[in-house]
Amino acid sequence: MTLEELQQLDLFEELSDSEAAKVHAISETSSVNEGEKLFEMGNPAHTFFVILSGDFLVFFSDGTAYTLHQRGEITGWSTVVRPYQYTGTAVALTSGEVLAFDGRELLRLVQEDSTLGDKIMGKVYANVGERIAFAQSRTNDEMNSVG
Amino acid sequence: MYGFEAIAYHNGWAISFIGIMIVFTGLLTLSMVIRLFPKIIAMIEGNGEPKPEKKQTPKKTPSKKLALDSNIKEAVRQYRYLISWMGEPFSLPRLIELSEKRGLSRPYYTVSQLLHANIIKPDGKGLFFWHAE
Repeated sequence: MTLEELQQLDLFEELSDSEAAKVHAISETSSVNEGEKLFEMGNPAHTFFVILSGDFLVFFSDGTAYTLHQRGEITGWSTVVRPYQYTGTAVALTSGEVLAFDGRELLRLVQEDSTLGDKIMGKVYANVGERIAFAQSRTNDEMNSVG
Repeated sequence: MYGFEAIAYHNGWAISFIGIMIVFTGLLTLSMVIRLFPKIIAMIEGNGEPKPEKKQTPKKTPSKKLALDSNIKEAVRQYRYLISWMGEPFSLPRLIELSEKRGLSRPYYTVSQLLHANIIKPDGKGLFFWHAE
């Protein structure tokens, strides 16, 4: 993936050229096959993923799930969010490509460069916020059904 | 008179042959009736037309997968049956798990096709429902 292509991804679109270059240096494009797991629930979160192509399913122990289809969507954000353990399992519904980041390298980058960190983590937390809202709606329904 | 001579004298061979024919005819008739059960059940359920027969995967070759028709309509039929059994809203990973157990080909890819075709839709709370008519 080129630097320009990386800057077109939603997560990195606010980065300057120098900031994008730092991120690009620690990124790696990987192909995934249909049915292949990106990560598994409960495992230490080592890798952060940005979807480049293909469809993906992220599911949880209670059987709930959401799907990812758009280029630029992220998953595996537990890599940069405590307790650094995957809370769900991600599997490829189709073959595709992902941009993978070593969790430790990415965390080091956002901690060393506060401006870059704010830009990236702002986007990550927005994504996390959506998923938390999704999880809360599940929890509320469960509580309502019990109460 | 003993042995085969006695059997032949008392028409034993003919009786044996007729007995075997009766048994196998009965078994054949029974298997034909059982084969019609899916169609009968489909008609009772009110579809109005019997569903086309499914190819049964022989148990001794579990690695053989049911051929998935490239036409999305065949996938719709197969997964609709599965989802009607699961109930709605349903768990998508559970659907994939059941599809694999039933020998349906490429369940991950099929689910993605059904999602793209808006035949399966999320309910916004992590479960999914069937949307096709």
